[in-house]
Amino acid sequence: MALTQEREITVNMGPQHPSTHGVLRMIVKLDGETVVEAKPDIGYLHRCFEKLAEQKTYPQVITFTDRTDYLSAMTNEWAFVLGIEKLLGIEVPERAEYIRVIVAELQRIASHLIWFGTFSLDLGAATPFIYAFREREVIYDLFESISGGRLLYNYFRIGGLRNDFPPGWKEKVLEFLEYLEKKALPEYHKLFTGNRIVEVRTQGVGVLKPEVAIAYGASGPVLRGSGVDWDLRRDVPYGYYHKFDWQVITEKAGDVFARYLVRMREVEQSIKIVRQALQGMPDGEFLGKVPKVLKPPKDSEFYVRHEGSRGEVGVYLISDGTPNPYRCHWRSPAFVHLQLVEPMAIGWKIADLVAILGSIDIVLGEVDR
Amino acid sequence: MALAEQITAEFPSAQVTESSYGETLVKVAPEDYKKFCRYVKEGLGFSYPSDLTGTDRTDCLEVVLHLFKMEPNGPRLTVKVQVDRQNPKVESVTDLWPGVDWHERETMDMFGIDFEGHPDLRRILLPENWQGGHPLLKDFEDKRPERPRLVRGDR
Amino acid sequence: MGVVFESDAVPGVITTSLAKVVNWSRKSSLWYMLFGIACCAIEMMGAGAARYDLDRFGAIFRASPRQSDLMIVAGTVNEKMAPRVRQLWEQMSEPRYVIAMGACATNGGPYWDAYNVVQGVDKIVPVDIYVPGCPPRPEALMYGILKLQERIDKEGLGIPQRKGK
Repeated sequence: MALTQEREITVNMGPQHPSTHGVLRMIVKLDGETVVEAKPDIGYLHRCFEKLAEQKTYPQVITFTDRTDYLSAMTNEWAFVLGIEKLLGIEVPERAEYIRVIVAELQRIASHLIWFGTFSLDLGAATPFIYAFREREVIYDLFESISGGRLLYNYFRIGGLRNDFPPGWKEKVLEFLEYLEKKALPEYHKLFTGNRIVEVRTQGVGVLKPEVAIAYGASGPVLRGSGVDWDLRRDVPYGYYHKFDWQVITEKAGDVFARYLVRMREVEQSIKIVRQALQGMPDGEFLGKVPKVLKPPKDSEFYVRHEGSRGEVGVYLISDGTPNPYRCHWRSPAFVHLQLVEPMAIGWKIADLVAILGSIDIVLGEVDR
Repeated sequence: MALAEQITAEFPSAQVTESSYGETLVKVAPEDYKKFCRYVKEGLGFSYPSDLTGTDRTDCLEVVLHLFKMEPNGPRLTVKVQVDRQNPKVESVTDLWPGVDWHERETMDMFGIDFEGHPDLRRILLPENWQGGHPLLKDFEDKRPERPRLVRGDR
Repeated sequence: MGVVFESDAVPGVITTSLAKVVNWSRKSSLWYMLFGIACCAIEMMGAGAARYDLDRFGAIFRASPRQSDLMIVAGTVNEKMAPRVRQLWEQMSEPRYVIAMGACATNGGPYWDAYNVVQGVDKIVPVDIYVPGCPPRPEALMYGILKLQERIDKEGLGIPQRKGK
């Protein structure tokens, strides 16, 4: 009697699966437990952002950009707003630029924290999830007090911001950063980084070579985890990032653990940036001079590159001279990264596939738009 | 030598314009598209495929490719190719940049552009049994019937 | 609440109606399915995590539809997702309840006129409670769950058959 089975089995993960981070479906072919083929099937959250954007005016689209990548709403708003400001040549006041950096970096911290929580859930550890949410709630509170929303803010305006800080906000942020740096982050590292189980499950798993990463158009922590020193905040500068002293974090290994380390160390850099921005922030206006009806010149177009929490967010805008965009395309990093799952996962066990999928930090709202 | 001059020296038929935002826009003919992309990647070193998408220009369809180099403040290149609206067809560039694979699938899904030589050209965002056409075309109409509201006991 | 402590009878014995006990146990262990679709799912996770702690109401998440009593539809349902939502609902055993969380699940929300979006999950499965908001705060979801518990409390035995409302 033959004990070996040569037939491959097809396993269907999702769209309702606890570890696919939303409504992703993976069609996985297995030889025993080894992954032979892993095809992502997306589109379960396709909400027609691009078509809807064509029917809305430019300021109205900002609300929808929040909802593309709902874990990183502030950076998305910034990406879109940057595009129109380029098309119209609007100057943003200095204070607004500072506040933009502050909220975007706080958002990056929040996004990395939730990633840390869900990724640890993927690996089977439930405690870090609770810890990460404890800190994230504080950031939610901070955002709520400036924008009114917990998750989706609609805080950016073309030419500036909706409103200034409330009194006492700055002190609250500084207090939180102190707490995060001195107490929460060391706690995470103690809990997770040196953990033997985590090391075995992540180190050397799902290695992504730098040349493959570039050819696929990877960006953000996934690219930097493969040792490519590339960050749009520094290399294609926007905002006031050049005014602050911070570093681009890279890790050489290119495995799941490297991507984890990049994100955790990026949180430290974000803390550094926010502190400097709060210190150097001038007084003044928070909204520049903006015409009532925004009509970018006919047939003008622009492609913005913006470093979101997950990587390069690209916004391609074409104007036809009316208040509505003629075409608005959203290039999302997670959409690109999801293509990398198959080359990374082949040859690994199905449990490693979950770790690899977690490590690229996908948000399905952004993949499907 | 500036990027625009390099391109016109190699491809005299390509229309090169420099936008005021620092982008080099190149319009190439559909038959030159693949050759041009190969030259841009191998000759000029645009290794990073940022984005590929489409636009409906009502008289034709346009495939837009945004390419960059991995160097700080590097050149920005936008390649455009206009295809016939009735029979939209263009060669696939997935063998040059594997990352445009899904972008091409998405463009096919949304605009119906056929990328010849693509390894796996299926619908990506819309359901496989979608009958409503290609939604990002300007003349698209939503023809889905209205659904009744269900309450408990109806099944 | 109708529970009678009969002091003269054997100590420690409570007499009540069967329906009350059944309803009490149903409402106190509303296990919801771990099934997030979009933005609202993050708030649903927030409701289950450190600060809001949904476990207090007996609601904990289960990964399988066959083990859960409550489906919280947290996000936009589109044409590709709709058959799957229906299938998940069909896999749940009675008594089952559905909460439509957020504007999208209620009526399509900001995406109501989009070509691929189902205008509310009540076109796919019958909904018991609608929670408004975009996204609703965790408090709002908790209020929705409490309302559902009130409703379960008034039910009879067997499979609830409500028509209209």
